[in-house]
Amino acid sequence: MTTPTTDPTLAPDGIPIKRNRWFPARKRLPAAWRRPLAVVGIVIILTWTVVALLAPWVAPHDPLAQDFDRYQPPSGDHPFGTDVVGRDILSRVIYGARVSLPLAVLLVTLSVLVGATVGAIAGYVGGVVDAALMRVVDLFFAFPAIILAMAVAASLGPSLTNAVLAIVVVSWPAYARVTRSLVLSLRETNYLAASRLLGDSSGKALIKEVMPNVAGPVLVLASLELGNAVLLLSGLSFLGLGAVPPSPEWGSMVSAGAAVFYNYWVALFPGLAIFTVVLGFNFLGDAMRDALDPRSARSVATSEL
Amino acid sequence: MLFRFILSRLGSAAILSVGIILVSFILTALLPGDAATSRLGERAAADPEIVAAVRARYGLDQPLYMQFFIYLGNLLRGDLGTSIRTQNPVLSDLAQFGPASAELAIAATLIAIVVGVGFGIVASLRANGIIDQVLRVVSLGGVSIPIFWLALIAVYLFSTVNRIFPSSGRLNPGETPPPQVTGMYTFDSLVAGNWPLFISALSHLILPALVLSAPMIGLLLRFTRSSMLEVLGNEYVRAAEAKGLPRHTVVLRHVLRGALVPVITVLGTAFASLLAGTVLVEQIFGWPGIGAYAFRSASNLDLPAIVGVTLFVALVYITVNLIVDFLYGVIDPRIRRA
Amino acid sequence: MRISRGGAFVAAVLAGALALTGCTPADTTGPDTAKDVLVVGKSFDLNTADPARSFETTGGIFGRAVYDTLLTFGKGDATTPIPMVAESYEVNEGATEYTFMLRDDVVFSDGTPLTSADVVFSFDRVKNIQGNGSFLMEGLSVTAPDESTVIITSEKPNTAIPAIITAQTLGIVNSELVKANGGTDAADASTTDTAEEFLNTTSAGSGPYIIETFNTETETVIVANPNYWGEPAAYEKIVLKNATAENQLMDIQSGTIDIALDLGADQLPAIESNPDLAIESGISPTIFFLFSNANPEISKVTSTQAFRDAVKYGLDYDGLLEIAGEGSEQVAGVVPSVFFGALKPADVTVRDIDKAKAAVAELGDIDPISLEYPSDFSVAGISFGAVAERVQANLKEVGLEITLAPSPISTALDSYRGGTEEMGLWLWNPDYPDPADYLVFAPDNIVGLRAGWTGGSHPDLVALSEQAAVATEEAERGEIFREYQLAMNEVGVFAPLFQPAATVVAGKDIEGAVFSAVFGIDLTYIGK
Repeated sequence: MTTPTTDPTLAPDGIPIKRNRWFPARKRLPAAWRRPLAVVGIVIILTWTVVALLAPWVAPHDPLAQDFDRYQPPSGDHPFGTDVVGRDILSRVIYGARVSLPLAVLLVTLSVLVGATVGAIAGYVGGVVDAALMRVVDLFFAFPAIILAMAVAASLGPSLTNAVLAIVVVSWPAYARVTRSLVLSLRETNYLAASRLLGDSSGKALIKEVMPNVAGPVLVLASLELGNAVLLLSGLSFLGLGAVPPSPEWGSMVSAGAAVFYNYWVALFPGLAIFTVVLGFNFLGDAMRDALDPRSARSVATSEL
Repeated sequence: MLFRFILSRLGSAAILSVGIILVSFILTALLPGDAATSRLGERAAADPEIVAAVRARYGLDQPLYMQFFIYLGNLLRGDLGTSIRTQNPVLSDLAQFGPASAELAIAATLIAIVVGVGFGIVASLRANGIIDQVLRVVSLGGVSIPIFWLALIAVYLFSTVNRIFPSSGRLNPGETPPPQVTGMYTFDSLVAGNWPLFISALSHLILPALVLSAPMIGLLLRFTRSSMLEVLGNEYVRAAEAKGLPRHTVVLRHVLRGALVPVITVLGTAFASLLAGTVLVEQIFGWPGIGAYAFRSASNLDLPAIVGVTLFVALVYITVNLIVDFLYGVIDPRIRRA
Repeated sequence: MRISRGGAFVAAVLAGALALTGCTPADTTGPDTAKDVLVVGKSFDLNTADPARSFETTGGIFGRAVYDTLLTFGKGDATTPIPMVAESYEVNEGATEYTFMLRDDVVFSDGTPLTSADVVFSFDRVKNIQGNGSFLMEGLSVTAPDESTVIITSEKPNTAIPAIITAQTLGIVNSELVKANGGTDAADASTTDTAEEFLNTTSAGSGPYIIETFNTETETVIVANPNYWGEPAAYEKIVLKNATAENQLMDIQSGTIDIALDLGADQLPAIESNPDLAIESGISPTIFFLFSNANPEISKVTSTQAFRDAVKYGLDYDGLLEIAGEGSEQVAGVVPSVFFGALKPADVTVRDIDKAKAAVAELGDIDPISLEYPSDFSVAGISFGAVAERVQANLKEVGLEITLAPSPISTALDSYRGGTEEMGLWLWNPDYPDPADYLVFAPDNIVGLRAGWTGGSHPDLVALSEQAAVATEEAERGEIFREYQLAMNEVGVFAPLFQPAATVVAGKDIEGAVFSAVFGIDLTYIGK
């Protein structure tokens, strides 16, 4: 890497302040917000959040009411048409936000918590513990997520809870790896040593010095994963392994529409909902990543550092 | 050095495999019901003698740990057990369905590379312009679209409304597959010189491969662009330009090498989502591959098949990672030391 | 290297695209449209090509064309067996002995003549192999006094035998050929018979077709039998292609398949106006039913008469028919309308919301009851999920809270057969086309036990079912089966819901493609 004399990543004494590279530099965020895609992303997510929160008032009908004629094409009464048992699809799509959004957030939060904890411990403690934990991480990385989810659902019965658990089990390793490599490189800085000298215990040093520096890239990864979480959840429900009827989950609604795909509206609108939500999350995450560290794409991706 | 590298990787692969088998067994131990009795008709299932005979036939009357060790023992002899559902050895099932998925995955990957890297380079050369913004939206779109939804739309538009492509299967019904070379019908029919069969196989392959490639296109576009930008901004490239070399020569000779790193990265990490996509795409396109097999095996609680597929997929994943790491080492010696 | 590979691929794609544009869509999407090949789309439940072990619809469909039986049914008929390998038969007074006289001109696909020894071997093999279809031979024994006579003896009077022997499981195999390849009809055949692998690749039957390729996942192909003893087969080759109902809908429209067997009523509107397709509808003998567990240990609530009444009168049967699709019928009792002994349409249960609510009031405060059903299984285009959701909504209207508990079929079958479901939504396919099959719903019998129904609670019903099993005279049988079903409806452990419509969709120029309640479709009548 080049080292011009005015490199902001160097402290005055010439030692790289790696810390600043990853710490969420607040002054950079507004720049992100000036990007059009980020704005679009925020608007989309906010809209869906509002829709989800205000569903009972926004939805024209009860999502479970089977009162209407079956398979009605979109019309004034039913802008998204009706489904196989005569329910209003627009209402179901709206209520579906209440299922997908919170679960995606929950899923990512759990994965981050588990993964970051394991990764931080591995990176900080090092040695045998590190090696053992990383082998476990490898195991879960190699285990095909979808097969695990299918087997869990087949045995314990399909349910959103089981689907979320299955996905968390295979998602946390990514965060573990990232956290571990970040912690490893942090260990080499003087900050931890300094903190220990000043009398902090290992644990406190871990929390005070390590976590804030780790938070940035991990959060970036998490925000990018939110979209993925929605896709995985709806994918499992599409296969019949997630949501249980009559829950208005988008993936299972697309699945119901697949059998009668010439009644295009049954599968089209729930799928569109998934698309826009994931797009929103990805726009946002993408812009965040650009703003916080244009190079983090590479450092996060290289797995063996 | 290379030898030690491969050896250590093989070692972890072996341990990983045992771990995976263990997890699979534990998982299926939690499963109520089993594939053997679910194959029985209603009348047969009501006869306890028949039920006991069937369970004994599949070794399901043994305690789980015994089943586990028997399985490991068989595995060392290359026997992956017999699928309760298809009645075939799991190994032959995998040999039958593996190439189908491989064909699909390879086709999707090739499409993704051509389109994703190609447009990624274009985007980087026209950075921050209109084209770049549009391509950025396209790439994010590719990553965001639910694959099962895209597949349904594709089939509707290209098979039902406009009969451009067939809607399901690998060949037309009744067509005999080409003589087995790799198990991939497109490749094998070319080898056999059977042009009409090749066309048929290709026309069946295109639509599912295109659908499957969408997320990878998105990823590759993005990563290629950012990596290209990084390299383009590097001193040695600017130095080369300063030396008077035309831009396209600089791009080709100096930059592509550095830009290949993200490509390899993405291919390695996109594997998991490729598998998930495969399960969904195969389901919708009636493509008889590993994904469909895995889904049916899981639904039917077919223990030997589940473990076999999991092992197979995990091994492929480990191999892919091995190749990726190796390629990293070749392309960027700095990383090898890690 | 990667670039050149990509380049080669691009070149290939371009070449292919150019070639494709030179072809009309029909070329790339359909098989030969000549009469040589018939492609049938079916959602496979295929296990084996060995008739003795086979007892599922898909196996029966091609088995019907590959193996002959003593008797069979006419095109689309499900009531009167007609001669096939047996040209006539006689039955004794008590319906315990049936004597069949065989034709003398039947030969197997390898040219060897069919004799009574082959019949005896095939039937004994079915009996001893302990497969899914072995129960058909329960209480029966078969002997051959001479080469062209076969006698079937039954321990108890059994008037269903002519119907039973039309089953593809009792298809007659070439005993010499099968024995030479590991087959046996000895008492220990379940462990010593190894002929299945052989029979999965080579057929040993006397039917108009023989097996070319057998695959349980993709497609099974049968080709015309050059040595067939009867009228030549109408097609050179019949391909049975495994396709889900959704794929069948796409395939029949694109011409990839000629006949689609699993399309449901909801999917028909897409092709109703298609001038190239003909839709043949019949009534399927499959009955969908709901049960409330009668075992107080499973549920103190569902085992009460009040709960059963609440369900019986609370269901909106007409509304359920909407879900089942056009052409479906409400079934009055457990015997489907297409068979002898079924109840009349006038006997159907009608919704009575007041009675239902009164029954619910009797129950007082109760926890929600869970309704289990298979989540990944659909028949005739009807998904269990949609029916279950409607049932849940219906019962909610009368004050009953139901929670849905679907699971994949393997798991669901487990709890169903174990008798542990509080409420279950299931179906019954006939084992053979006779009302005697439906005695399984009686207490202490197969399906009754799955609903936790033991004889102690309703001894009169048990007595009725036993009577029905041995009645021989036709009028008497009709009466007893009627009483039996009415009594079953009174108690209401089982609430029969509907029979779906069964459709066969075929290209307009294909003749003889009609639904058969017995076989699904009889391939041998197509094209004639």
